[in-house]
Amino acid sequence: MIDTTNRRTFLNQATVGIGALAFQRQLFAEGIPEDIKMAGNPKAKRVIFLCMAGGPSHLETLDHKPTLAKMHGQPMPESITKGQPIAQLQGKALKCLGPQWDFIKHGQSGQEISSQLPFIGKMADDIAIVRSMTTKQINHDPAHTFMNSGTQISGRPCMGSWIQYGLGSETKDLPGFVVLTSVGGGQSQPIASRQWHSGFLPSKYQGVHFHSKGDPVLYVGNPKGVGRADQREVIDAVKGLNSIRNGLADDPEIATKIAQYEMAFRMQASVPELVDLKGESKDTLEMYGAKPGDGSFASNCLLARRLAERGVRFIQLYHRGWDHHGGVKNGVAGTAKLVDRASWALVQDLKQRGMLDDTLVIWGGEFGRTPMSQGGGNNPGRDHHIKGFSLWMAGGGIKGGVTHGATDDFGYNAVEDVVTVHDLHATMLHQLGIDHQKFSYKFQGLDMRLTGVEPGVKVIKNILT
Amino acid sequence: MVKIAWIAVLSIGFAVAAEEKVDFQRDVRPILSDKCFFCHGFDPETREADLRLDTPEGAYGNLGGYSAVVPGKVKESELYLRITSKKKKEVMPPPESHKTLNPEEIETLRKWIEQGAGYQEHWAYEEIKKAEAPGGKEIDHFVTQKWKAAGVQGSKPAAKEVLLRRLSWDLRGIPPSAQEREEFLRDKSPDAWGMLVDRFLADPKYGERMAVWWLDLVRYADTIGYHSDNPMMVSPYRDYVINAFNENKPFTDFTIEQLAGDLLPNASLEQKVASGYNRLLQTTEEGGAQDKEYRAIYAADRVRNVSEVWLGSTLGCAQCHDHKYDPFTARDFYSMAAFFDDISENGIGKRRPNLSVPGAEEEARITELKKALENGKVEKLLKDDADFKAELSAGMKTWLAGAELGRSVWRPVKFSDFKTPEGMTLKVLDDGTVLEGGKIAATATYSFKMSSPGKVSAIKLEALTHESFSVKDGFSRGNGNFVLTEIEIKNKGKKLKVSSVKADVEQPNFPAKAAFDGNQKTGWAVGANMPEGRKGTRRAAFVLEKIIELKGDDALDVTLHYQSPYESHSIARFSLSMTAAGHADLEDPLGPASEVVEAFESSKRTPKQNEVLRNYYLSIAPEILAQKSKLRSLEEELKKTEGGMRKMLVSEALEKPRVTRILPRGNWMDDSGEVVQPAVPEFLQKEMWKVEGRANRLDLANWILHKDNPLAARSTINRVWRLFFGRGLSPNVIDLGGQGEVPTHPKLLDWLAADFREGGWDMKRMVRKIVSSQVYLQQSGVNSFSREKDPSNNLLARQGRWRVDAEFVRDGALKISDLLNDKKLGGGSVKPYQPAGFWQHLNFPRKVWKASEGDDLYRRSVYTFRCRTFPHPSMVAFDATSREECTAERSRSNIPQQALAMLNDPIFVEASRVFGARMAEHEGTASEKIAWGLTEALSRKGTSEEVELLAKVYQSQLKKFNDDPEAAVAFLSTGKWPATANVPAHEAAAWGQVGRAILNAYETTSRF
Repeated sequence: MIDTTNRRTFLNQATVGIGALAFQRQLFAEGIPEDIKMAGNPKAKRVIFLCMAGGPSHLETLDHKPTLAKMHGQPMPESITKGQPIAQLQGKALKCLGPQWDFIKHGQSGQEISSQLPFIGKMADDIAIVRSMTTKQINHDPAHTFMNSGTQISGRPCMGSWIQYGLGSETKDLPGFVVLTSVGGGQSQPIASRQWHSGFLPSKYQGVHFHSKGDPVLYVGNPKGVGRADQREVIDAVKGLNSIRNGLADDPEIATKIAQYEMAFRMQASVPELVDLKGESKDTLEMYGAKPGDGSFASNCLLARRLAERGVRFIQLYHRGWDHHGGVKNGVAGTAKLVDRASWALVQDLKQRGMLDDTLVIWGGEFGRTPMSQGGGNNPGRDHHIKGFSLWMAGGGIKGGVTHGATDDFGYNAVEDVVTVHDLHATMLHQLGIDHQKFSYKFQGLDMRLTGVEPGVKVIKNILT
Repeated sequence: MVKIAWIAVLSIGFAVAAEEKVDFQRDVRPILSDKCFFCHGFDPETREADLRLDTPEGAYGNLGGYSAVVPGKVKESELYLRITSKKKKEVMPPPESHKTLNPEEIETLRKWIEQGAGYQEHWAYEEIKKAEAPGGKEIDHFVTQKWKAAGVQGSKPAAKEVLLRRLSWDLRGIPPSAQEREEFLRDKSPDAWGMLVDRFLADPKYGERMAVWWLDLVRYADTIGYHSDNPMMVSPYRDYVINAFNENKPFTDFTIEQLAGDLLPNASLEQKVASGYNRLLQTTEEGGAQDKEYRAIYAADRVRNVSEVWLGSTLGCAQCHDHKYDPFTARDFYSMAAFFDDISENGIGKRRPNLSVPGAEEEARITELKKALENGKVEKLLKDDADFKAELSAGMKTWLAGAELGRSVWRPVKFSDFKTPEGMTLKVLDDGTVLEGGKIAATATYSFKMSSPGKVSAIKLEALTHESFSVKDGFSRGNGNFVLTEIEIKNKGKKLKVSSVKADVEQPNFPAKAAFDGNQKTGWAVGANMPEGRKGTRRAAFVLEKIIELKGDDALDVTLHYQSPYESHSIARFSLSMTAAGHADLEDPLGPASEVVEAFESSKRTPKQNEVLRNYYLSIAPEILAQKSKLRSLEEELKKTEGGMRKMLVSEALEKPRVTRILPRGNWMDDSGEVVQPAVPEFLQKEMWKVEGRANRLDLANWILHKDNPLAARSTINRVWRLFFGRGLSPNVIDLGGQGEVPTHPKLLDWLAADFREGGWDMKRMVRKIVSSQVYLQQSGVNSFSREKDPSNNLLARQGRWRVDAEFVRDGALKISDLLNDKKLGGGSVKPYQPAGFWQHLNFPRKVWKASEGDDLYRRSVYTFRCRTFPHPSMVAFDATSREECTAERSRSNIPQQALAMLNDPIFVEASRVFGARMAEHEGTASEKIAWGLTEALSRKGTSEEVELLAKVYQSQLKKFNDDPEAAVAFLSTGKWPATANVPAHEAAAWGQVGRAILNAYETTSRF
């Protein structure tokens, strides 16, 4: 493995057509490269990130705030909100909105989880809840960009690409970084393809978006009137032409091209096989609450397990339905119904297949929601909030049954064991066996890291086994 | 023996190395910059131990009895002691920085100190020096000098057909046709190459090709980028860029117009369009986004872009703190941002276009229309046009001599079958009018039949008063007012459509047309005491969409509805009449006023009456009506043309620019920073920056182009070079600064930069120079020297080879299939096929990609609609950028998605089958057809092996499609282009498969 700092020089050689491939990180995994390895053994081989897009209210899901209930209807103390960034509540009166749902203590650990997440509650002893998340971006689009890439500037690689770049892929038939999306339960905020873009890293580390309608992967279907044997014949002809040419030109790009056509051809079979849920038992489908082909979060969770089984390194699910500016009570209940059971089923399914130990599951949004009410009346909501919110993690060396960090009595500021997005990334990399500080890529003369250049980024040790 | 030889070489190598003088720029600076400056550089905030190594003062300075660097004295230099220390706490760089010096680097620093530890300004900021070189052969001179020093020979010139293909890709972004190849191979004249270069430079495709490069730099796109990613209108800017390259606009004008076209005196339309550059950044409409935050984001976006595009600098990195590797300060960053704080725009929200941009044809037509409208005004004709006046008075004479006053002759009708609400009655009076009687009800609906044989083009309803009404001059038995909510007229059960109505009086918000809009909540109303109109009568003429004819007793069924909430508002006395007058004669369907009637019928007219008649005639004269109708259609066309013009966002300067502050650590919520004025980076100001008062974007542009500012010329020409060799002379084409790369050929880079500037910043001239050099003509193949000794091609001892850019992959396929629509240059962005649902995750509003139609499906990819959050997926597969940030160098990946797109994206399947049809229709045997196809795609003759291989595919696929004719039809239906009618379907489909094989071959998309 070559020195990371010189990798760019070698990449530049690609443009003049000399053996660039030989110098780049291999596409396929060969263990964790020495130059980025952390001390100790890695716990996780892959990540499933369940992104609750829109920003779930931590106050109705994972962060129990009895004091806020007492403050219901009262003005929010100005000492807390003064000078803080604020989104749609700009210039509005700021009044406390008590938690809209009860919390229930679960399991031996007695973790408190909203009554609207009964299934997640059932596995309270499997998950670690982080109640002290913070982020820097208060609007959806930049907040997703920040959560994915550690910066709000466009054109930077997202975590899935970083991990692909660091560890390579374990599958020869599927992309190593897959994104699945679903909607329902609330306002569907847009989500941009930059969220799975490889930025300045080579494009081969880009996430591949699977679609629930049409071709699951763009252009994976043969043209009309062309069968698999015909496609093979055409690809063989292309291979023949490329081989003849390579005999004369001796260009490694041609050899790569031949290999990529083979990969494409394999994907044309493996992708339909992957998304075909016929082989799943009725019990499994019921456990997830999935109906094959419905494009639901439940179906996507089942696909996530199938992807994980096939060696896909980073699997990211977006459920676009948590933006509850109004009617947060019924909103949370509605969206929770669409994700609660399947989230539980995924973790249990991985567990029963012995895969939870090396699969890191993360469940959370791009930010949380304000303790202050948005739009009074009978059906109040909550605005975007970045100073304190919650998520949970499971598997991949995460300790179950722990709650880490806390917000203040209002659920406004994370005050105890504050966790930043960079900390979350560092922890994720750590579980995968990567030392986040060593893991850099030279771009515009700087050693870029997923966890940024500022000091003070820390792995959340408390929640690790 | 072998072993001994090696030792000898090594020892000589060492001896040379020991004596060789290290070059600060090439050898030392990059090490210091990469390994030391982060903590010992420009930025005081991160500076450790108060030591800076970027200046000689800092390096030599007294640190308390010792110095980091003592020139000539290695052992007294703390720097050397620290970098060679074995102690964890002493060694530099510290282990936790994950930066280490390798032995060669330590040796270089040692030699540098020993040789006097000299400093030089970073090469990119030094003035451009033009070294002597033999005229006309400068490029070859500088390159061969290096070859000689290294004892290397360059590669031989490539074959003519290879050169043709290379030049065609490089200058036009498409491969040459088989015919172009033949012509070029035939041309044995000594200047054949020069002529070819000129021909390609004059081809409008040159501008389209160069635009792809420039638009990546300036991050041109058709959508705003953030959140909803809604469209923004800027496509005329793209056309400006294309035209600028084609017209070979000097790079100076090109720069000034983009940055400050709007500030130029009497800015032309073109210059205003160019200033759209300042609006290309990403913006947001997201609810809850904060104005102030986004203003800071926009400022940073612009600073990054302008410094990367024109200075080859990463000034954008100084947003939060002084730059770590270059002498840029945070103050420089905000001073640069201040230049753009005069641009009128909102922080959050819709980007509303502020310029209409006519195309050449539109512009001509608009001028024509405006002139015709001006000259065709009736008043003007009456005043100036003798012919018109003569015609008019002849017409009036005829009219006066006639028996009929008006052209609209209304004939009375015969009523029957009245149906009324209970207790109400309608009866026909002696004068033929109908009178309401009986109970007075709140609402009413009447129906009856009416007949009057003859043609009917309009029906007139006249409301009349009656002495029995309680309100004098009233029309209803209530308060005298009426509201007719709906009138329905049926002919043989079929409702007649009313195209227009003219009423003499209409109450505000109760127009007569509301009486046939199918809505009982609206209606035609008049007040009894409204001053307008004639007393005691109100009239409305309903013009029918189609003229009907009534024969004998044929009757129309009429229903009058009075369903308004105003009670007792039914017309209590009315008459109905019909006319057969043609539509043109219904200009005044209600007929003339009584004074006109009197004047017309008067046997002895007073002058006043003559005047009345003349005025009346003017209102009904067919000559005038015809002219008016002509003017109306001209006006409509003008409105349509103007409305259809492309609109765009351009720069517009505020009278009072926004205040710019330094944001401490980039924090937009912190207002404590100092206010700054527009200024260029301080260390680059030198003698060039002399501005009185507030500097503006024009000053910025002039400074960029100042003869003593080396950055614009160096960075631009470095990037131009990359277009023709695949790599810049300084390989990091985005950043020439401290963390960039020292040029492989500094003298050549400087010579080109100087020549670019001295030659009037003439782009075509520079391109011609580069592609006319022997260095350009070399073969691109790798030999043992380049493979083993110079894999990066630092010596330029061969040409580069690469897969062409995403745009040209598609353009090439369209060209080879002859689908390419190259008839049109510029225009609104177009939408090729894109998988359904690809935009499903966009919202506010939800968006659906609707593919363009006809020829627009086959336009060059530079015109493809660029959506920032979801760029076209098959272009992305080939590394097209999202245009969110400046891209000076795209990655060139080789990934399976490219295979999937080329194999299965409908546009490539369509191009394959159309290309297949061309082969099928070509004269000759199957092998000859294939051979022709290979030449068309690859600009060379196919080998017999290739032809045989493809012939097998053809035979096998022919059998398949023969056995499965439905599959053939299905295959041929991909894409909108019709399948060929000249070849049976199974043959055409089999040829299409051969076409796919050829289009998918790597060579088809490669430049070598």
